Amino acid sequence: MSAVLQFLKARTIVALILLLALFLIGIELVRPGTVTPLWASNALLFAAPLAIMGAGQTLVMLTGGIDLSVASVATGAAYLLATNASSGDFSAIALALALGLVVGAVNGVGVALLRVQPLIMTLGTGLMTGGAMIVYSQQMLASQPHVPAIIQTLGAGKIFSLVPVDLFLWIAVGALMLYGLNRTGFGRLIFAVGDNREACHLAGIRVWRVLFVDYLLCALFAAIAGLVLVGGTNAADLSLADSYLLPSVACVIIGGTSIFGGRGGYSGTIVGALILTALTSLLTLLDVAEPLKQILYGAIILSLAAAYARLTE
Amino acid sequence: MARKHLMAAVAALALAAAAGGTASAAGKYIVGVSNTLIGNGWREEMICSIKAEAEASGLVSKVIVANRNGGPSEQIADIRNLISAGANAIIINPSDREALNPIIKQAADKGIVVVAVDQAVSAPEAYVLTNDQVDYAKLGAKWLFDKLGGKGEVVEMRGIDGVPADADRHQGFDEVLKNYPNIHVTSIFTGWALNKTAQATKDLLASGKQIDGVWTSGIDSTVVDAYQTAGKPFVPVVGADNNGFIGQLINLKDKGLTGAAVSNPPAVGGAGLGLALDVLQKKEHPHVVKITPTVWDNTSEAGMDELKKAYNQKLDPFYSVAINVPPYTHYTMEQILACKGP
Repeated sequence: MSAVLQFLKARTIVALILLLALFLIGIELVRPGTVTPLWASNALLFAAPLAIMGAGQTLVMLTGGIDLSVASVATGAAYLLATNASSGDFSAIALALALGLVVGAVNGVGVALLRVQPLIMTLGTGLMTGGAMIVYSQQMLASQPHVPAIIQTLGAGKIFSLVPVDLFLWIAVGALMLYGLNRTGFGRLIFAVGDNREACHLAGIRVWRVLFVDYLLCALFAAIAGLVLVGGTNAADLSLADSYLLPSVACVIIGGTSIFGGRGGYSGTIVGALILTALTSLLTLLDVAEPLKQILYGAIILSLAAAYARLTE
Repeated sequence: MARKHLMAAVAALALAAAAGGTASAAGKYIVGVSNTLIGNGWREEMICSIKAEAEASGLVSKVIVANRNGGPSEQIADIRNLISAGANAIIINPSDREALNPIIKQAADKGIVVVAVDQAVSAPEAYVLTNDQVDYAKLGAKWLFDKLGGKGEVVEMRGIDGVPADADRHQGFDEVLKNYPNIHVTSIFTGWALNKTAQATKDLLASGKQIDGVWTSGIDSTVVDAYQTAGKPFVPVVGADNNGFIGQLINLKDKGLTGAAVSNPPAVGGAGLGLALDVLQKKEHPHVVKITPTVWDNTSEAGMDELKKAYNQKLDPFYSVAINVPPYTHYTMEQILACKGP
């Protein structure tokens, strides 16, 4: 037993995958015959935007920060895309991504240069982005919004009706994250800044640059996730990504990244996103009252985080 | 001499002030709006209809919108602020049937006309102008159950657990269901959110669960989209009069989509203001006004005609095509789309 625990402690990712398997068994018990290739393909389709948002969240949480503006950025990007699609797909996509860069830059300046607490900084910019989008939406009632075909394919398309298109984007993001965090100087700097900012500063590292790029990337990932989301719903409203805010943090924590920074990585977040998506699916299929579903969702996330903390202590 | 001039000037000023006073008393009302679900297309259109009616009436000097996500406690605070801001009429889309009653009474005691639109409140002082939400569900459910020949597996995609409109609709749905013993229902709450609906629909489709028909509380085109992307044959779908869904009922009929749209005009907002302005000008109105919804299906010729007449390619998929509620609203299509109040 202790050998098993020792093994799991050394390879927490294995523990996470076992947990995911447990959820799949749970779904099969609730409704036998559900976990099919089609179910798995849907799960990947819906886990992708969460995991892409989680990529950004992993980056900032590794430095001991957090980004609470990701949901507003994703929603804003989706809404900008839909309302500007009639003036050309390319410019609409560019505008959507630009929103991510602008909010990311403001977050970066606030956290890195002005030393505002990340929680407060990103809460503020998130609210500002959301408010600005409401003002904008009321100017745009007659703008013929639609979602470009390429984004629909990205967010809902499947190759051979089985392999979701957004999986390829997710793989690209994942490869970039895993390579970037583990094999590049910038990746090591992120861990170092999260571990001991003061020491980094004394060692002559320009900490503000690391943090600035970090928050910029996070918001950009959030904007990309917004595009995937709106492709999946084929319509944008101003609450599109609201329900992704806390899961984007939760999938990082379940995946083993410390909220104090310096420890963790993206591979855990990947499995974390899959676990949360499977959990949502399980609760949809579970024939119980809505309040009970909410209680279960909260309780399961809590116990996952608690179990993980014990395992990695 | 100088003194005389001064007197004249003062008199002139007083006269001007009096004239100004009567001009504003001739009916420049301040209107407050309290809404607690933001980012929802229907609610945005509702607010725009209030602004448009304010503009079209010429009786309103200012529309103050308190617009944020929240529940009864946030809404009570918002209404309190609107009272302080000097509103003569307050239009609310209530987040709870009972919890707002004390603050509504406070407002009414100050002579403020309070109109609850879209969803009901139980305060006797308030005016309530809503789409008949019980009927909304009854009409759609009856169409669906008849379409299925009175038997089969139906998914009921509800809104937000606990809000009055959802409770009323569920009540109507259940009342009709009692007459159809061979219809089995699975209920899901969508929170009126697009991605939650998309994911839930795809989960249900992937689970292999038998589904013969879908009733939705308004997030309708997302369900049809999910069927399309999953490559599953369509089942009858009931939705609201959302532009995107109406377009699907027209354009996907050839591909086997059958369905019905039940009207649920967001223009109840503007209608609520129309009623409030009437009351402020001492016209009598009953305290409860219910608008009876209509059903447009794409399986009858008459229904198809109505759908085609209503469809507007330029409108957002989740904006309702019903922009007016006669006789209470007076604005034009351009005015509601401009979404500008005085």
